[in-house]
Order: sequence, then C-alpha cells, then structure tokens
Amino acid sequence: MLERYGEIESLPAGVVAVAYDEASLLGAKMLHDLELPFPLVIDLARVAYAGWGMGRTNLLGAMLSPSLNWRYLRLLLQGERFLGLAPDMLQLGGDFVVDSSGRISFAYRMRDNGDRADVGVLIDELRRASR
Amino acid sequence: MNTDVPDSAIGRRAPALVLPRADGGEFSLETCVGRPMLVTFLSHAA
Repeated sequence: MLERYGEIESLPAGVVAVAYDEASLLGAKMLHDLELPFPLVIDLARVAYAGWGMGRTNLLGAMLSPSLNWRYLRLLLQGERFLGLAPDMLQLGGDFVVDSSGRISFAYRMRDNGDRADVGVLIDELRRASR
Repeated sequence: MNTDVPDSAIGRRAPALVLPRADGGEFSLETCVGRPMLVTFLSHAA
C-alpha cells in the first residue's frame, strides 16, 4: 500500500492502521525502515480486532499457506530480509473502507496470513467512497 | 464469534475505534466522520 500511497493522498480520504503488537516490535520487524504517512494505533487487548470481526488462523494458515509463502519468497527475492517470527502469528487482520457518514462501504477480513485485499481494490473503494 | 461487524457489514455503521497512537495521544475514528477512511488491521509483526 505504501508504494501507492500517493494515489490515496490525492483523494479526500484518510488511512489508519491498527496493530496488536507493541510499537517497538513493529518498528523492529514489519515496519523496519518504514515511516508511515498515516496514524498507527495499538490494540494490545485486541478489543477492536474482535469488535470488527477479525479472526484467527491455525498453523496451516499462519505458516504453511501457499499464498503466504509465495508472498514471502517474492519479498526475499526483492532483497527484503527475514526478520524472524512474531509472538502471535495466528491473529488475522483485514481492511475496511468507512464512508464519510461513518458507514462501512467495503470489508475484507483475512482468511490466512497471505490473504490481504488487493491494494488496487482498496484504492478503488476509497475513490468510490470519496465521490 | 461475537462481533459488531457481521459478514453483512456493508452499509452498517462502523464500530467504535478509539485507541492509543503509536506516536502518542489517542485516535478516534469518530473524529474522521465527513472523510472516507481506510481502516487496515495488521496481522503479525514479522
């Protein structure tokens, strides 16, 4: 998403990222060398994760998902380095677009750790909600 | 699972989202009413 953030910036829309790990761990791993141009909020108790319907996967979905392993392989081939495992690999995320009236106009909950909504779809949905 | 966002979530009011920001302070989705928002829930940190 960060690669295409300029397209989101051109819209009258915003972004917020929700994480359940400690900010320091995020900085050391997933967000290593990244400066987020939008707010990152921390939900250690995962109350928001539960309230918005995020589920959990199992070992297969967390580690052995073909789509996840393909994604990691592509990252490694691009020169990214493996940063080790996180404390909880089973919590799943998701993406939502909330329109200007506060209503959900798009919802995508991950089914395993390699399953995220396509960034192009997210941008299209934000564009649609911005009209 | 008990959730405020069932599979038929489209069109429903988004659940509350009030959480501490990683850079300090608090974020409330309610303050963003009037502006479309992408809310992205991250999975594991690795």
